[in-house]
Amino acid sequence: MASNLEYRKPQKTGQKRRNRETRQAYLFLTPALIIIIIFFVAAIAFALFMSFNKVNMFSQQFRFTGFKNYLNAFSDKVALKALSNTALFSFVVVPLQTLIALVIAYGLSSHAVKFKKTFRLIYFLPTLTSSAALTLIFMFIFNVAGPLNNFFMSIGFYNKPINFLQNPAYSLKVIMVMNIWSTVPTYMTIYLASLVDLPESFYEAAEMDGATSWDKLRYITVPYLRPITTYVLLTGIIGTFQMFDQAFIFSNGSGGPNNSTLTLALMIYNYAFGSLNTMGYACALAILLTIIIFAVSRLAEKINGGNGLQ
Amino acid sequence: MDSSLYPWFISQGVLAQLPKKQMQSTKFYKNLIAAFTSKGKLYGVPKDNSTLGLLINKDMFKKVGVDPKTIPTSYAGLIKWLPGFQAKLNKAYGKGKVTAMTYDQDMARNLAIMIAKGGKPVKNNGKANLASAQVVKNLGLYKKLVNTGAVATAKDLGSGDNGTAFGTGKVAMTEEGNWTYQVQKKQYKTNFEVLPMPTYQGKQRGMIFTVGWGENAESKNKKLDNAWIAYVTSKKEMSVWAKTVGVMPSRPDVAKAIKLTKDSNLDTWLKATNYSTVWQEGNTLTTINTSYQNFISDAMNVKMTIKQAMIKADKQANAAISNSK
Amino acid sequence: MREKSKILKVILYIVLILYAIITFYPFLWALAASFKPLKEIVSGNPNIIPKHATLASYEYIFGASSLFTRWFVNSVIVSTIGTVINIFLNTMAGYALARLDFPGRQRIYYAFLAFMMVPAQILLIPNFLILSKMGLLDTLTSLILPAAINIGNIFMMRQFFLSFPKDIEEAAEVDGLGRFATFFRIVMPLARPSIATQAVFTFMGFWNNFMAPMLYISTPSKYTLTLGLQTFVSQQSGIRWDHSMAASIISILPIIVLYIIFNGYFLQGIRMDGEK
Repeated sequence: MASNLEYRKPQKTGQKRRNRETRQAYLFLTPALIIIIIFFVAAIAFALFMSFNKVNMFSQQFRFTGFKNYLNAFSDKVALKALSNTALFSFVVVPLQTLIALVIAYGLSSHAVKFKKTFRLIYFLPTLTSSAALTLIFMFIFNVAGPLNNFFMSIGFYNKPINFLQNPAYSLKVIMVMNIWSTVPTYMTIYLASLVDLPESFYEAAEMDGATSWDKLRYITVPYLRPITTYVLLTGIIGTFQMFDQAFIFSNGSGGPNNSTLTLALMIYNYAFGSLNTMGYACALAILLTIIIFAVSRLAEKINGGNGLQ
Repeated sequence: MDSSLYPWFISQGVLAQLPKKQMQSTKFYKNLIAAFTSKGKLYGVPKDNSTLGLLINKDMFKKVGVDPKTIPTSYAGLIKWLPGFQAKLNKAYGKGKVTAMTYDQDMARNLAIMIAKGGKPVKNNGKANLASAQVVKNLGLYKKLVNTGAVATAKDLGSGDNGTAFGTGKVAMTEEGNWTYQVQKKQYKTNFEVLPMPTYQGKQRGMIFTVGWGENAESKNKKLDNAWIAYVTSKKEMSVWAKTVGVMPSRPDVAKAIKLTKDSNLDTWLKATNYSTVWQEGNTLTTINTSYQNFISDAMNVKMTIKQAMIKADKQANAAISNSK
Repeated sequence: MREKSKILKVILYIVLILYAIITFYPFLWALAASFKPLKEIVSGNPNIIPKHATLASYEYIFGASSLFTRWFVNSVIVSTIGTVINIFLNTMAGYALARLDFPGRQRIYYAFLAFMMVPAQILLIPNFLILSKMGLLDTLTSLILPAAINIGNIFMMRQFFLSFPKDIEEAAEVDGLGRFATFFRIVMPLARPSIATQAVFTFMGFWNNFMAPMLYISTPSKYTLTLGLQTFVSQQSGIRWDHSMAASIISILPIIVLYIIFNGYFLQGIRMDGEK
């Protein structure tokens, strides 16, 4: 846990300084901690409590059932299917969205590019387009007689239109495209905000050594952005594992056709807010999902090379 | 509360019994009142009424030279008639431009057919029974319709719902509710006519959607609540409401008073109230419908038989239901 | 060498412009759709220019409720106060986690991460109960307080501060500035690009939030714009795409304005030493 700050400190005043720093740190953290204790710790504790009960939300009745909800979850084949959809979704979307965001940000940060502000504004717009409008546009693009089918058929990819929206083999992929399209701008903006602080002298020095653009990206930009990449990867993993609204809109909440768009978050939603008294089961699934996300995130952090602290 | 959620509210015991006389329950459509009655006691008063009818695009029929009067009034007749009609549409508009008819993959629309001839998609204990012989047989109707090559879902046509597909001229006939009436008239300016639902196994069958007023069993002031419900569902108040909002009333006397029966299209929808089924079936219906929608498209797209798809749907719905036990 | 860099530049522009088209087209289509009649929107027409341009949808929305101005003001209040509080609390917490050395730092960091991973749907009902115990239901405070911090943004600020130049703080310390003075007078102003990024995302989060107002607010005069618009867009059976397009354009205008204001800040680096 030794940080860079520590060894620079004069030995004599080390202890005193440490105490002062600890005090300061907690002062900085206190307001955030208060909110977190009330609205996260207490709420999560309540959800945890519910996960061990059979809950009737309407009449506020709780009946302790021990690990029954968890045991049910482990033998729930539908949950397994939802997990595999979710994992596949994350596995495809996270690397792609990170890569595209990084490349576009790198390109845009180049000093050779003019009209940066305009590009940035345009790239930011997808985050603003309402999800209702997006659904409409994507349904139009991907429908049987839509432009995408026409395009692929005109270049001779296939000659019978594909029912992207109702064919289980394609529906999840359509949602992947939608998701990547709408998340890249957020991450690109974050990358850019960090890239403006990358000293130009790093690049200049590299150019003198005859580095190509690729070398600069590979050996300067990517390592410099590592902490931000950790952030992008982790929030990407969390976002994809909790993916809900697009699947919901797409399948009218059913997760169909044939469970192909069923995600864990959609399943949790259906159990929590459906007409059955299954809030307890929904909470158990949510707790399990949290554990899975945490494990996957740690793995991604390791692959990306630490969180910047160790 | 929605009619489909009523059984759930009843099972939770959260609804107060309402005095039938004060609510003038005999003045309402019988089907609607029955939807909010349990063991002879009234727990809700329907505030509106929506039914389905078969909408046809009159301009399209004119263009292809088919007299709407010759449209078969039964599904069996339609199945024979549709391929010829589709061929005429293809000739007039070009292949793939206009589909003859749309259908739905939603229990809220299909239930009336599913329960025909004693079909029982939901068991008395609330478990899904979609794969039972009669239900599967009844669902075969949709497969026969699809196999004519003249019937698709609105989604297949790139539209969100039947009304949109119909309004934008992608389909010549569709089963849709009265809520689309104003939009078709004012926004899409479709020249349309509403026909009664086709018959299946010798009877007209459609769905009714309604929302009712209910009262909390623990309400402190039941007298006042009762008076309020009686007031808003009275002939006078409902007339005003139905007229301004443009919904169909749940009382025939109101429909008459505001002259809805004079409009032949609205009258067709109103009459459907008598032969249609209320969207309601036990307190597990939402779960079962979710599962049904999940698998029905595979059955229709020839990936598996209806039986196979419904066995899967049953399994998934019942697993969810047993998690709530 | 010259030739090669010219080719690279052309490729770069092609990529950037292609990507701009991919992102811009749907937005432009949605914008144009708000001026189209319903039939034209849903007929699956990829054209941007409306055939029969109309302001009917906007007229409908502005005329639909006398509370429209009220909702707009509510949204401005909640989003502005919420964003300002968030900026301070998140930045402070992120800074402490990145730059200060104290026992429990790793544990707090991982606890924060874990909280971020709990699906939000599960926390809605417990939070509803907590707010009702606090007597805050149906107040604008209920929309601000639970969202007064954002763990995602704390995490983002922490990551920003990890690559924040250390020499600046050290120089301030040498000058005799205390920790708090250094933070508020030196660090925060210099962290402008990341704070601007955070501000826009936070503001957007408050502005577009739909679930919380729907659950916590019951009096129509306390609705936020998103909730208010939603209530009368979805009033009728079937979605009125024309109204919902206009509603979404109205609700994103303030964010675009905000973004244009902050656009300059995004590009201001920390280093003022002529490297820009």
